[in-house]
Amino acid sequence: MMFIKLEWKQMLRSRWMQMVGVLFTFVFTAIVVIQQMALPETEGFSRQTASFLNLLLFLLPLFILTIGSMSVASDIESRWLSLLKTYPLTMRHYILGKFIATVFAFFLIVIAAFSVVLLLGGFLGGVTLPPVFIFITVASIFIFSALSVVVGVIAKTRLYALAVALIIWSLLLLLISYALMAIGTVVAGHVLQKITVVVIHLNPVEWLRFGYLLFAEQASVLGPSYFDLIAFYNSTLGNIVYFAVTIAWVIVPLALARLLITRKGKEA
Amino acid sequence: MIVEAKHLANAYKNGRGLHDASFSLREGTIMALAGGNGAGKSTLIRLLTGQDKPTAGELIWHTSQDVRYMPDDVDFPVTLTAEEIIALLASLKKVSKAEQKQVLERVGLWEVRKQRVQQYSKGMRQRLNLAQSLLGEGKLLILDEPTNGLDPYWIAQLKKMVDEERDKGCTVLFSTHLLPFAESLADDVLILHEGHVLATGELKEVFAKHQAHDLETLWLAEIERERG
Repeated sequence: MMFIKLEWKQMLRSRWMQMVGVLFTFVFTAIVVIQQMALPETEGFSRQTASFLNLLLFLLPLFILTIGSMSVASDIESRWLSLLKTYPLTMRHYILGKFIATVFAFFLIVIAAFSVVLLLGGFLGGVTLPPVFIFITVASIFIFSALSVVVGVIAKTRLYALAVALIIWSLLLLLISYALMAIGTVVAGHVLQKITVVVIHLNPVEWLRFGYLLFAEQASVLGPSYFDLIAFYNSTLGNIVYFAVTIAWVIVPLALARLLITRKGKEA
Repeated sequence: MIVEAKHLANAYKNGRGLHDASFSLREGTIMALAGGNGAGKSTLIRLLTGQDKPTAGELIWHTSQDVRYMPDDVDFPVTLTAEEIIALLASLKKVSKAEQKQVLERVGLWEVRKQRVQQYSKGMRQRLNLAQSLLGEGKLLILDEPTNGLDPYWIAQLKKMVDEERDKGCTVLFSTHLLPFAESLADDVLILHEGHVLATGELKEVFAKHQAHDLETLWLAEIERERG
């Protein structure tokens, strides 16, 4: 507990984290104000929802991946981890401690941002944060915190961690989507549809976006060719599979991080 | 005897590290680990602290492998205070608050315990490093270059603390480049050169065997002899 508490303190005391908190809250608030001024009182998958989702799936993964990974890499670079290894602290506890501290730190940022937005919404009216949006936010924090820990373990220095985090972020957010579009120009529609289904499962950003559309009952925007996929995930079994895959996106990176860090004796 | 090393090796790709080291560490004594840069001192310490495993040879422990360790190059989390760092490490070893206070007092950081490490000088950080190594009851205390960054007053205090630890029955191994410092503190010595042992044993016996009256003369003579 003490380890998690002090890890959390370290994160919250970091200038970078404080700046991220302010930036996230500011951008979130700005979107609400601008949207309310430009397009008030809209129903369904509004531009405001799309903006929130983009912010959530663009900025939050970027911040979590960079800050979380640099926190772990910093321990390796400063040899603080080497010292911790001479204490009765298992690497399982270390990895879990880092993960939980990152999750808590980003929860705090998101709660602050949501509070400001809702407070502002009280004055402007028409601002809502549906439960599904909150669920996707929580899932996003869990998944990207787990990924950030594994990135930090792979990297040996903070700068290296930053570079790897940015590569993974651009891969998940941009490159895979562009690759899919490029593939779509040379393969048949039904092949592209199958590849897209695989990518939805293998890319956590797409997985969360898909989850949002699914649970917000707006998955029809994906088009009729995905009817079978949507029908499956709308069933009870589909819901269970969705949660199982989401949990796997957290557990697998953490297990990998633990495996790598115990093998890393010489470098650490 | 607390630990015995037999033909211990852990070489790196660049050829540095430890190639063949045999020695024993007597219980309740202070051993100086001396040698130039790249002699294998840090590698040996990494093996003794369990951070690395030997690629050849073995370490035979005659007691529990409960080591307290002061690394030479650790950077503590700068946004934490000395009090928080000691509390964190103490919690891992289940050390009482009273003992946490005691170690911070011993290294002269009690008054500034609420300051963040980023406000500390190099010497204060080194004293914090020393404080964490004094936590708990480990039978073997390993200090890697403990004099780095310390002023003459704190070097004298360090000597006193090391003596006190030995008097409490603890075995101390410290590495250093400062041969006069090693001589003034150690009962035994282990001199490494390019990954193997140049000399080891009780200080007086080592001097007699190598017909030397101080470590510097002995070390230089042995290196000259090695180079032919």
